Amino acid sequence: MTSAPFHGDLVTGDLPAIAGTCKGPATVIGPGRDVKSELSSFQVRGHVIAVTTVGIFLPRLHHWIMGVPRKMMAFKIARTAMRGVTNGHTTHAKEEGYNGRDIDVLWPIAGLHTPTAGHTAAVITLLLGYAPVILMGLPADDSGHFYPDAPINPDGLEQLDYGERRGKYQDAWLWLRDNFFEGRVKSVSGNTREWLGSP
Amino acid sequence: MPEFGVFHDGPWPQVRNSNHGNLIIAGPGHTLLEDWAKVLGHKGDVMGVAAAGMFLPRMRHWYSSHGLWFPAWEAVRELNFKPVLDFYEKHASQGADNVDHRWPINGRYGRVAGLSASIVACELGYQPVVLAGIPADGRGHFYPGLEHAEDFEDYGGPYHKGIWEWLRDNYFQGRVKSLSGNTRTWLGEP
Repeated sequence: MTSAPFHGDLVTGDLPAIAGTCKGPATVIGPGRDVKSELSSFQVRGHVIAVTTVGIFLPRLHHWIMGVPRKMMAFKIARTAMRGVTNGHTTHAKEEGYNGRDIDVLWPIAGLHTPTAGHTAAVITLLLGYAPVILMGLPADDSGHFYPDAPINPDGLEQLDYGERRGKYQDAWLWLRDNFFEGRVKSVSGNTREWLGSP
Repeated sequence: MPEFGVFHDGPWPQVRNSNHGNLIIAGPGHTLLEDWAKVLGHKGDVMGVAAAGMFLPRMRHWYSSHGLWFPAWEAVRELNFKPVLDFYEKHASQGADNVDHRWPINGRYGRVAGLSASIVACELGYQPVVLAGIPADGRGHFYPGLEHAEDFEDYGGPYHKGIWEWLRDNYFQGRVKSLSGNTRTWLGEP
């Protein structure tokens, strides 16, 4: 275990041994609506970090970061079905509120500053040691996911808005930008590109 | 021209001809999201095909050529929709595991899930049937797979085109239309 660096109240305990062992650029790939076209338009640099659902489908990934760790086993089984193998990567999540054993590495990160899997992935990628970090498929807006999750018969199910109307999500991105990212995280699309800048 | 009929001798699932009305078939092609936007507000039933079924709200049927994969996909679907009452029936060709209904579709028509799902939809009794996310153009899936064009079978080539057109002329009887891609060209728009 390495001792926790000073990151304000973002890192709340001792970091796992894997922290700081990675280097070079990484691309964090999230489940945003336009992730496919972004992957076509922008070069994937360095190691691939999959965020939640995306990891089921990517043929190669180095790390897989979950926002809801109890989903990990089902996602891994689905990845095995889709891609044949499920090894060759490390799975990560926040340790906050999770007692299960389905995640390889749990991180002592405050949920206040990492309210979504996208926030969590950006933070863990930096703590692993990667830089610079490029976000794809993480626009933090209301454009939805790459899969059709809009109910075909509208029944009042809420559509998440990861941007303007969800103030705490925006606040968290801005807090991370100002207190932790140090210019190391950029985004190719959406609100995160506006807030963090383009790569 | 195909040498075989669409079906072999059976047995037939009991659900044959047990449905009516219109059906959207949502497949895993790269046009799924844009096609889904076109059918929002649709009041009929929905059939998911293969990986698309992990995500579709309000799905009534789920078809896959890979029955083996259903348990994995269902685990993800359950996480997506646990708070919502979720009831669907799983379909595949004969010989498949993990499904509710096995259909006696001849192999030539059962090899590609979009084709066999269209046939199952007709046999279930639906009309009209509208294909979403089944462009049959070999340009990939709706999900981000980092794939290249050469990774995909030529679903728009003469072999597949011949099968779709034979079904159009000899079996679909105008019941199946498509929202995108080659299938829209071959079958027409709804």
